[in-house]
Amino acid sequence: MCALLKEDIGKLITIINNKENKEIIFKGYLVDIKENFYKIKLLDNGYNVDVLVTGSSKIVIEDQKITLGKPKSKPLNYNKNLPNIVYIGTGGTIGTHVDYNTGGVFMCRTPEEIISTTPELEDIVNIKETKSPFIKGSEDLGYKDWQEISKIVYNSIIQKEIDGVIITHGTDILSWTGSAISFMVDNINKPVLLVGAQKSPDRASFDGSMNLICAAHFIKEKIPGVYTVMHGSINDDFCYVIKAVKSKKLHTSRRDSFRAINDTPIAKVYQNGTIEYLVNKNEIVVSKLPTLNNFFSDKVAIIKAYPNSDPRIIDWYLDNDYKGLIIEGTALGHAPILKTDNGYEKKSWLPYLKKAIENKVIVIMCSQSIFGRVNGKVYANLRYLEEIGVEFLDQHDMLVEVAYLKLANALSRFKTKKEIINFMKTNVVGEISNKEIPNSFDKSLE
Amino acid sequence: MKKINIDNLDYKKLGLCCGIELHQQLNTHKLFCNCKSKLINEATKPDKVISRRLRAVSSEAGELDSTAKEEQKKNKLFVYNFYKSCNCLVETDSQPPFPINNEALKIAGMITKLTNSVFVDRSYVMRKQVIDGSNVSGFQRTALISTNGSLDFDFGKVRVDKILLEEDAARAIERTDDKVIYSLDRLGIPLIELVVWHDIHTPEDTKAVALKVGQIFRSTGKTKRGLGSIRQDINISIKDGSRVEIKGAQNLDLIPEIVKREIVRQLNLLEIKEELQKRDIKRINLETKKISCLFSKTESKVIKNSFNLKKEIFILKLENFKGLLGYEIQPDRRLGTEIASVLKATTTLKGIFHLDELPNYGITENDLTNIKKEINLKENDSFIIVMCFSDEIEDVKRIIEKRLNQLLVGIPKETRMATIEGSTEYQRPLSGSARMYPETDLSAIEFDSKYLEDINNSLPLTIKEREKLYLEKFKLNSQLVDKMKLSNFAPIFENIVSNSNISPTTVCVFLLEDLTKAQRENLIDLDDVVESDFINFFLDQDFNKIPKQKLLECFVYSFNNNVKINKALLDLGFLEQAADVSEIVDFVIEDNKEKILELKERAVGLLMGRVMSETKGLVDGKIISKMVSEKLKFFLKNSNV
Repeated sequence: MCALLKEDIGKLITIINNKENKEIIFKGYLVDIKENFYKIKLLDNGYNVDVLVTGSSKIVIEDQKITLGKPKSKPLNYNKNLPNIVYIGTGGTIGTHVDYNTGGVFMCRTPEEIISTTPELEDIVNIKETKSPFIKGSEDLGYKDWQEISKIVYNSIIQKEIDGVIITHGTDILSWTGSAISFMVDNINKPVLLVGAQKSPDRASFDGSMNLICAAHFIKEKIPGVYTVMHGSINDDFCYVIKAVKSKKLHTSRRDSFRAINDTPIAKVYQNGTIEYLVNKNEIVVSKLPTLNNFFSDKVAIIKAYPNSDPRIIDWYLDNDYKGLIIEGTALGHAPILKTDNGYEKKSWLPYLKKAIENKVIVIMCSQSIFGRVNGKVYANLRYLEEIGVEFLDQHDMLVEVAYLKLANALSRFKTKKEIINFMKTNVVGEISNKEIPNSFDKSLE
Repeated sequence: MKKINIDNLDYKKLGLCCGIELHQQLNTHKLFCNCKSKLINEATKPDKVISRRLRAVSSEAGELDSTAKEEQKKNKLFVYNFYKSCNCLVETDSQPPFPINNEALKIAGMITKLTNSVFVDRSYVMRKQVIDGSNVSGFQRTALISTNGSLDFDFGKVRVDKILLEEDAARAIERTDDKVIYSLDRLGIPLIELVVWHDIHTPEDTKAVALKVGQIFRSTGKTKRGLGSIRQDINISIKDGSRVEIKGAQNLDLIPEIVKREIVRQLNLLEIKEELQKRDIKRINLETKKISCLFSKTESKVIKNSFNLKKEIFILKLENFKGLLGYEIQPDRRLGTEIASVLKATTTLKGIFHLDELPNYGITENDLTNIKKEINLKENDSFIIVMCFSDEIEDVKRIIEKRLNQLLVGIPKETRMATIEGSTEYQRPLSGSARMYPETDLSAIEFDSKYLEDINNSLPLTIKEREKLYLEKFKLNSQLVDKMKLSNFAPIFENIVSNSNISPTTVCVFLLEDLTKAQRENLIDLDDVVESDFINFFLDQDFNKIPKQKLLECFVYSFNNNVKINKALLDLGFLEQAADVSEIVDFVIEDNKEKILELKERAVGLLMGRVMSETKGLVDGKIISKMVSEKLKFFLKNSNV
């Protein structure tokens, strides 16, 4: 036997083994080597198998070699009659490619490669510029990435000839990034659309193409703001355009996992370009010019309050100089109070929160319930929290992650607690709704 | 041109080689989720209807597979009927697959052993691209389990090339020009694919091999029964011809006829090739002309319908082609039919007309004269008439030209579909190996020692071993032996008989006859019944209490209501207590004679109460009520009141 090396990957080889008194021959391209197993893509039928190579195995290597797994890229056409966009590719499922070595999916696509999955795009928009500040999956993103992407968005929308921005992005935190941009760029005057995919582009059932097509159709509407544009149903029929600050991924794997929370989607966009508005589009206006305020304090944390939870975690954040805490309380905004006749039980959150607030940490209450508003008055236990200074922000209905991003931005942007709280209470980009109608929750039950 | 006699073919001289691919559905839950493997009547209203479109994607090697391209051209809408009783998000391509079904993997292992095949060292689930919509994801999941098997026959050894475990596709239930409706019920049912190498050299041997492999599948006792649960594809080639894959041979008896007719088709196409050479035709070019105006006053229904659909009539002239389109290449199928079947599979066209079959279909002798004049048809020329949309004609022309020019080269390699008579129609080009890449959501399949031991311990008896056991030990009559030895139920039957003292004949008749009857009468859905349901029933401590003639009724009731035998007997009123109840009713009537004579029919309530209290609630009220009213009637009648 001759041992093969990593350099031999891609070569056409034949391995002859003796097994159960038979001569077993496998011929194919060497795809990977793992210990004594040679992974081969069989020449005659394309199946992958691992062949155990021992001292008695015979191996024949041929000159023929293939390069495995290179995505294609398509040069972009320019059509001056179409709206101009800046396209930002950042990774995620929509930008994945199958790695034929491991069978795993990883991110390696350039913007041009992603666009090449959806050639229809160049008939709808003109991709004036492509940017790829980073190629990452959702799980690896951090605030510096948001600061960078916000800067690109800002630099794009201040250009007169640019009609909008399309960002392809991992879906897990698609709406996080959208919300971050919403707070980091003030007065967004053009559509900034975030698009992802739940199924990778190697499949014929790739959902990202339709999402991209629908986003491209929506650009010409010139509706300012940051929106997610993803499948609106389990069918390949339309996408919902949802305000990023009100959009949430509610399912781990469905195409239509993005839903509007405490809100109504802006519009339905069909693949053929038909657009149905679900709100009065004339109400969405921005009169000022964009400004970049991509501040971010990384001294903000989200803590979940739940039965039996240990409040000493708050001390850890205090010891580590955190300036803001978002508490994800139950329903209206409860944390364990555990009041006794002469004080509180050991696991009561109240003394810890009180201490944190006395140390100038801003504590904001959000809800685990996802839908609905918080309230600091309805029950005595809620009032105890409000009395020590936990902020319920006049019964806000911000999503936990949105409150987190907003507070992180506010902490760097303003100096005084008063200013920060005032900003947090203000509906800046639609993140706090002034009323809730039954539909948004009812629809989620359909 | 030489006439080919189908009954006088010299297979050896022709160099006939046949291989078979057999696909067998397994009777387990689905391969990559926990849904039941059951089919739903098409008339059943789906719980949800989902619509999708698929996109063409490039394969690992970079190029688009030819099959994929062909399907993409049609850009159809795919509509999926979802049934919650046998579907979940996995089938809708909305959730990653669950780990591979271990029971199905075990059956694949048993079949590996039974065909002397050798497990691959480690396998990977692959995605085989399928974009006709029958797989919602755009691919079928499939894994290579074993290779290098063989089976012995009277006529020699036949190699089993490979055994695969894969998921079945969705079932097309309606096709129109722009959409296909699929039922998702079948999608994901585990399927064993066994590939027999083309070591078979006669039509009859081909059938014998299919028969034997089918028996091996069934001997595991884990296969699905009924129409469509096993499908055979046959590969046929002859020396001067090409390899053609024929799908959809469901009936074993038809296999020899399919093989023969394919040989005849290939020989006849070779005859045509020779004839074309004689006529010195080097390349076939078609002249196209729109001739709708010639038919403005036509009586032809087909043409009128086309006009209603805003289609036009085109003629494609074929120089020096006279007589060839009407040349019979298979019984009742001409070269013209062959071209029509290619168009049907690749365009919206339903068929063609050609010179050799006209006048017909409402096209008159007079029309024909006009046509000939219009295109200046010479004596030896021929033509094809098509009805299509104006923007389609270039495609149609290209497809016909390509097909005709293939005649000059030889037999096209392709996939064909068997007809009921055993002829074949064009389906699509042979699909290449380029359309395969690894399933990214699953880990490798290991065949470890525990797995192999488990398989060795669960191998079924051979047919011969069964014959001996059933005849000598179980004392079944030979008729039942013949049926049971080949039945899916054999392992269950053996298990029950070996573990109880129930008469083997009783168990055998129940499994082979009673159950079929119950299924036929829709009393039970056998798809829902698993091995343990039978075992639990027959090995129930109360089994002996079942009256012999009530066995089926009792099984159906206990299965459908998920109750033990005791409860079933009680509910059905078959319990021995029935005899006691009768005595109690008699006693109560005797004891209340005077009251009864006074109250007459109205005494029912009184009697019921008394009997109920005597039986202490052990007997179903309905049974008591029935017995009380009968006996009361009888008593009153005999008392002459």
